[in-house]
Amino acid sequence: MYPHERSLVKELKNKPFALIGVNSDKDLAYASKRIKEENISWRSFWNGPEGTRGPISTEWNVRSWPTIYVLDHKGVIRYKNVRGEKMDDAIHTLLGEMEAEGND
Amino acid sequence: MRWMIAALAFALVVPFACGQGTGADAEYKKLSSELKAAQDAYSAKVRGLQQTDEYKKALAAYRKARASERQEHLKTLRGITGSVKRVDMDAFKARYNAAAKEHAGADGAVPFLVWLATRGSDKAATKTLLDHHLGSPKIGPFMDSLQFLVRQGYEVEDMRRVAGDVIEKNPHDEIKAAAHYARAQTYLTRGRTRKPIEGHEADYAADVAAVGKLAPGSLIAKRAAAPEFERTRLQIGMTAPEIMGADMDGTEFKLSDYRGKVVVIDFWGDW
Repeated sequence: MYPHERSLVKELKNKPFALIGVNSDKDLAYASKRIKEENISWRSFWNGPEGTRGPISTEWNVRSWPTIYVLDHKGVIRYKNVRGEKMDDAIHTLLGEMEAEGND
Repeated sequence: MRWMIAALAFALVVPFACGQGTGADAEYKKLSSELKAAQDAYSAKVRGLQQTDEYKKALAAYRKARASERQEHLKTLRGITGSVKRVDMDAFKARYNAAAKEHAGADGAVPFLVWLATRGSDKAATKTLLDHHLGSPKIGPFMDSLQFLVRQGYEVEDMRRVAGDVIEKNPHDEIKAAAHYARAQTYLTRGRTRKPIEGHEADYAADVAAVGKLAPGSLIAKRAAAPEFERTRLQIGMTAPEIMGADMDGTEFKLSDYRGKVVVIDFWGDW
């Protein structure tokens, strides 16, 4: 998962795009260390010391990991649980939509 | 590195825990932090071995191996980490037991009994809790893991009856809320998509509503409301609800800070 996301974030560095994580490791120090080791550049909320039972994933009813939501620039949920190429396609579609709207 | 952090945390937490509260509570905290330190030390050692070249080589071989050969490689991997001495759970159980006996009949015994019943699969501890402690202010964590009763031979009806007793006998709202939540779960189907069992829709809805009323804004209220929240707020085409929190460095931010950008939200963990 990390290599794909790393290259995605790098590729879209100059686009209006953000990858936001919700990290559900119980141990913040360990997670922070892994973030450095894996060169994870994107920002994450920390879900707290209860790990997968923390407040954000609880409210969002997340029961499988990873869970992915893709939002457009207006904040509307457009795709759920797309991975790999499908996630890339979804992002590019939404970036295209955004550009088209800007040109109107 | 991690074992050092664990050892340091242990050194700091233990004297602190002793200074906090008195009697049974302090004893429980001390015993629990000892157990946690032992478990942390164990996993730190395992993780340490997993960083060795020997383990990495064996892991690479395992990943390359054909399915039919994997069992053999798995044995090698386990052989490397298997040398770490496991936490002596029987010794800990004996200590929890001794403390439960020492405080028998009092609220102070409850945390020890809950630990024995849930983590230690101790049927006698379960029975003591059911017979004597459902009104205790310390019974909350027992409600949180009520489904373990099934593993000890109880029926779904028993779980509902226990939750009902707690709702009736216990004067504390947050514990009543936990009991309503526990009972609500018994009205759901098993499996990935959990729905109210036919005929129990109203029971389920009533318990969920009670959780929200008794413990508004709490984690357990969020947990109870989550399936409904997903159905009504998290569908494709809906504006995503706000997320507010802190990042890994402790800096507060919110999802809507990124409005105007295409956003991927990734619920992840390194485990």
